[in-house]
Amino acid sequence: MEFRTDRPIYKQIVDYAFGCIIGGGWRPGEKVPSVRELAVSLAVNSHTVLKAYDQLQLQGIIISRRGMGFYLADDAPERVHAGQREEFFESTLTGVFESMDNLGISIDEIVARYENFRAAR
Amino acid sequence: MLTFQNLSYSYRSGYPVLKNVNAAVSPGICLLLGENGAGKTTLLGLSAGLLRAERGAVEFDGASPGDRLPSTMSDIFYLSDSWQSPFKDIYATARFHGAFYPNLDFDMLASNLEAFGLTGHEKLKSLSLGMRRKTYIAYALALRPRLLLLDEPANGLDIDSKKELRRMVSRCIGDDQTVIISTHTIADLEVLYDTIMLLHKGELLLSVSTADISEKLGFVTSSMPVQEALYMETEGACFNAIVRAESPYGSAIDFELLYSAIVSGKAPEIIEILKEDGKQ
Amino acid sequence: MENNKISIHRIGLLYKFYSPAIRLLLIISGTVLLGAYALCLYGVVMTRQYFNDGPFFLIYSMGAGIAGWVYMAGPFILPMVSNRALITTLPASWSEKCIFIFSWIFVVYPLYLAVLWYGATGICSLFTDAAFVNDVMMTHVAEMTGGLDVRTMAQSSQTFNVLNNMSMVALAALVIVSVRRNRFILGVVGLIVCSFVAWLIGMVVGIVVVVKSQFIEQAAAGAADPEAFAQELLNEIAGAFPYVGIFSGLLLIVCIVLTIRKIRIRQC
Repeated sequence: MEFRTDRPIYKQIVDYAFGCIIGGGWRPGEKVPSVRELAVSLAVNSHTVLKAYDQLQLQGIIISRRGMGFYLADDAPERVHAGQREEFFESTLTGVFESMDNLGISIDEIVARYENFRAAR
Repeated sequence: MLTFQNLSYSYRSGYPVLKNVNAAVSPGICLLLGENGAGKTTLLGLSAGLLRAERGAVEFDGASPGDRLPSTMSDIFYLSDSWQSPFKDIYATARFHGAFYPNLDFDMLASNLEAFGLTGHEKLKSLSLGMRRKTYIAYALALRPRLLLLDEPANGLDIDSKKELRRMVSRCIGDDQTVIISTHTIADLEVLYDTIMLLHKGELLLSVSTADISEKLGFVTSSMPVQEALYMETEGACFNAIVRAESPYGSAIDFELLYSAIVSGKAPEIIEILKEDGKQ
Repeated sequence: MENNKISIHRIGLLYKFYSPAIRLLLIISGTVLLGAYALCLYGVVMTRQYFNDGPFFLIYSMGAGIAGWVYMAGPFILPMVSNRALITTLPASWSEKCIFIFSWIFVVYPLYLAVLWYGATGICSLFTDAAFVNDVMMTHVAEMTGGLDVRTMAQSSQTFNVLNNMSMVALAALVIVSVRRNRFILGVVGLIVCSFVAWLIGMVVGIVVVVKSQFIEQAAAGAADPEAFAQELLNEIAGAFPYVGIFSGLLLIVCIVLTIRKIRIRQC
């Protein structure tokens, strides 16, 4: 997998996991690749995969079963959706808010443009 | 574990190549970064037992490579950037030279060669430099030494080969192996590194795990100057900065920026932050 | 492999490591040696047929000389592996590497040459007794010089010859192991310099003997018995060999010690 430089690697791995879940490659309730297996298949170092798995665990998307590895939660697809929303608020939106502050753009301007965007659809 | 204790080394002319290097490298993939002439090749030579330390010590698993004991040497392999096999082809090399290395895995050699599009029966003398390098890398990984030293492995490789190199290193390196990849350019292997050592003019300015870097520092690119940056550079219309602690909208570790920051000497806090908790 | 004691297995691996170079040297030196034998044989056979033996004696000497140089080629398998870093880090102890080198240049390789030479002698002796080239030539020289006993001198010079050759080979090995580049050429240069020095020493010995035996005075006075005098001269020369032999022996020991030291501590 080729990684971008503008986003932390572990987040790109989380994105990759989301892709596997939504795409059906990882099935709910089934075992997912171990940290080392995923590290080798993505050719990335293990601790980054571990960090990604930590986040996925926090979001309840994967569950660690002692001695057996990581398993996908049964409601994983819904949790992925929730995770993607959280990622948007945490990363994308924070970046937008920073730029708004720097450029002196008000929230009303944003609301107005959003309404135009929806109307054009 | 590979350790350097107060290691210093000078050429016969007296020029000090390495000055008081102190570090401990745990198993994993380590980046040895430094400009040409910084002392990387000398450090690798000392780790391989090729050179003997006059002042200070190098130790690998409790033994000094400079003593050149067979049990130590059969666990270490150094692929310098000018390494050449004296044998007809790589399989002959594996038979005559590889016989000294008990961990050699012939199956791994075959699959590595295949991944690079080689058969292993090509006459080494008739191969281009790039293809010979690939052959040697395939071989070095298949020797499975506990300490593998690679000098500029990506040098001379085309883009696809570099991608394959990354996959191959990730595949072939076991949990108990230590690999040191020495380079003056980052070259596409960034995401593999567990630790990084930064050598500048003979001094080891940094020796830290990438996990620590990700936790303690954030790397940000913005069209606006970045607030509270520990170090900042402009690149065209962009500002690249290093900030304290992870940023929610930051980017992956920018090794080049980190290198510039540390070598410039303008950001001593960065080294302090990374050294916190007694970790070096 | 874990054991750091001297291991026959690892020495065997060293022989295996150099086997491509060894194979090449054995083929080349074997061919040249047999060619040298053929020259000697031709020289001896022709010498016995024609009493005008000058040119044929020369051919015999050429053959003998070439055979001598072939013996010196032993150490040259080492520069055939040009990657010196590879050799230094090869997982064998310095003592194993030394045992390998010295067993090769002083035992295995000379044994191979001896087997070839005496094998050729054996085969040719089925056809002619001229096959024992050295003996035949010595006898012939004795006849030519009217019964001079050259054997004594030949025998005492033999030890000197062996020591001289061994010390030259050891010097070549030392040069090859010590220098970083152009190992092959510098090894050859070392041999040439060494044989020049040996020739010089030979000259010096010759001059000393001549002076000591008051050759000039006796010649001027017209010695009564030239053959007895010639024999006395030869015996004097024979007597000088032990002293030269000591010098060669010392050189041999010094070269071996320095070679061992260099293998232990070299930096690449």
